[in-house]
Amino acid sequence: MLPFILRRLLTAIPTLLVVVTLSFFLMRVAPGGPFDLEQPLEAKVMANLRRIYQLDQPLYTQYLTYLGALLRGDFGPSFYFRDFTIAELFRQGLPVSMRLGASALLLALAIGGPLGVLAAFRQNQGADYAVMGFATAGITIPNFVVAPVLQIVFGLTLAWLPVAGWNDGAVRNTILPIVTLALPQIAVIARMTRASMIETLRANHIRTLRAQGLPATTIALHALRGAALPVVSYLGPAAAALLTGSVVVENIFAIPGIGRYFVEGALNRDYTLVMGTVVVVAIFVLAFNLVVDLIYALLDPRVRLG
Amino acid sequence: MSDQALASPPIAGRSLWQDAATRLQRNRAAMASLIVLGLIALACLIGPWLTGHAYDHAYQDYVRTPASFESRPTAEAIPAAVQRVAARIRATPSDIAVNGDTVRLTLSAPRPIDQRLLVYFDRSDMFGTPKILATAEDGRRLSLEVPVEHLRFLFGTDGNGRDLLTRTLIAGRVSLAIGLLATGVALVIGVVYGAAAGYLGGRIDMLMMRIVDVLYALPFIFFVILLVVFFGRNFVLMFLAVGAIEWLDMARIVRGQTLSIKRQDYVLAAEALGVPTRDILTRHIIPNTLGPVIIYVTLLVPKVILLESFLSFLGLGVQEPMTSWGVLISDGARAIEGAAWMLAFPAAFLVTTLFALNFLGDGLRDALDPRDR
Repeated sequence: MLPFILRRLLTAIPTLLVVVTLSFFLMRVAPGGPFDLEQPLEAKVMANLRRIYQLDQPLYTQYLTYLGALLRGDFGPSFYFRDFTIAELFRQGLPVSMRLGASALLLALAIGGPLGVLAAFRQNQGADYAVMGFATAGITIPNFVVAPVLQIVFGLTLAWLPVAGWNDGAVRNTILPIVTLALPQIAVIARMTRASMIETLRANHIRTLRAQGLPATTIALHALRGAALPVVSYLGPAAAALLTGSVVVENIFAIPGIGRYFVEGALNRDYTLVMGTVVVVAIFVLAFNLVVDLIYALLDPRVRLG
Repeated sequence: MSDQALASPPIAGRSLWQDAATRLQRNRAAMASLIVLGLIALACLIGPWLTGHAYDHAYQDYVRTPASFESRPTAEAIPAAVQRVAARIRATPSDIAVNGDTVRLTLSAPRPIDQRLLVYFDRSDMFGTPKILATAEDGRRLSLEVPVEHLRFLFGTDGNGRDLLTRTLIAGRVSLAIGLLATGVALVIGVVYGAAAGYLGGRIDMLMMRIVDVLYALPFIFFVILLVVFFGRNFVLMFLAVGAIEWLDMARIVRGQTLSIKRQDYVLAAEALGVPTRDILTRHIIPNTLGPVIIYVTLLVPKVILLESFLSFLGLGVQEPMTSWGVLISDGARAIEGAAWMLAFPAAFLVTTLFALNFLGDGLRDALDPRDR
């Protein structure tokens, strides 16, 4: 197990390098620069700014400098949020996004999984149609429609919860964003669990259990182990995406997470911010893919790590 | 063995596609979705010419008018509207009488009324050219008959007083076109790339799939926003580019299919007969991968439509006065407190379309998946 983890961590390095390199150069060839304003700056001011941020040097020097700094864990200063380094921005925003994302993920698993199992056991019956209808709705209704509706219903009409704001992470403030984040995930997890559960329930070992006259819950637990595999492999990238924040949800609910940094960074040509976000997201993706593979090996003894 | 059996007509074979078509026709949800999609597409194509409004015409007198079947202006709204126009003419209206399609009223002012100012009635969205019935007191009193211009806003109007029905339909054109366009690009690239990688195999396959892996590792949203930066104002180009990103999944699916198809006897036979690689790909491999590809396409179209609306929500999408469902929804989400219809109608169209596409995709999967036979 340990050698496998080490090997995976080693192969993650070239992948990260490719991602960093590609996004670095893509970002730089994009037209415009971080100091473009409505009114162009004076040439001298511009030249000074570019020198301070080392933008006047050849691209490959900048690239090597950036890589060197990155190796030391230095993400550099932000171009757009002056007075902040990228590390500071992430230190503030990442815990917020991760808390919301993790809660949403747990909620989605806790609701979506059982719903999917229920639908699979009641295939082509009322409960199945209800779950699948709900799941299709969850996938098709975009979160920027769900969020304002939730705000109106629970924030204004019923006035149970605050409409928006973070309020230092008070639980009341996190409920609506978490629900908004979780709804589509509940839908996807329910659909996937149902599909793979139906397949597993047809397997021979389950038929044997049925023949032995075991109760439905025991059968479900046995089937779940096999049925969980596709869901787990979906959860890897999904978890990475959830934990690194959602730009829509953070926008609508005015939450100080890191989801908005991608859009703001790219639009303002905040090179270091975009690069930092790319690196953080890539690390999350790689880490969760590794976790997924480990869980896979635990669930399915046929899978050999190596 | 009797003569009768020999004389019976030969059993007509049914192809996979005929089989799938019959099964799809039996799936009520999928057929209903197909009809709904057809109706929405038809409405978006020809609807904007039938609503009687231009999608970019702003009716200043009808800003944020709620949706209703009633024709505007309502009888109760006319006196207030007359008051507004009269104020601009600097006169006081009296004896306002609404009968049918005309309003009779008397304007009076301390000084003679400049009749050229009556053009304000014309300029209003509610009235036509006024007819002067009588003048009195040296032109300080005018009796007018003003025709009322009736308009209907079935879906209400937006914050600029533009007809929401027309805009929703026009937006549907844009959203559907974008969905189909990007999907088409992804389809072509993905199928050709995947089929080539799978059929050629070996090192070429390795290399081609590594390229796909690297592209997968890049955050998708980063790519999209870079594209916005590059193509900015040109929305069509941008979505060609989005299609050029979305082909990755398609390539994987097609490659997987190809790997199993290329070992089939008919492919070996074609190879033995010396059919060129190109023809084997186009005649034998690609047509046989189409089942999963069609399913994926019906799921990719809604994905792209959602992506477009997501970009529009961020303000990076279609620019005014052109519009898309995403733009309308994000406008509606901002105005939801006072003008819920601005969110409700575009969202209903978008969600119905996405629902139908999803059901159709599910139906196609059931119809084309031979395991469920």
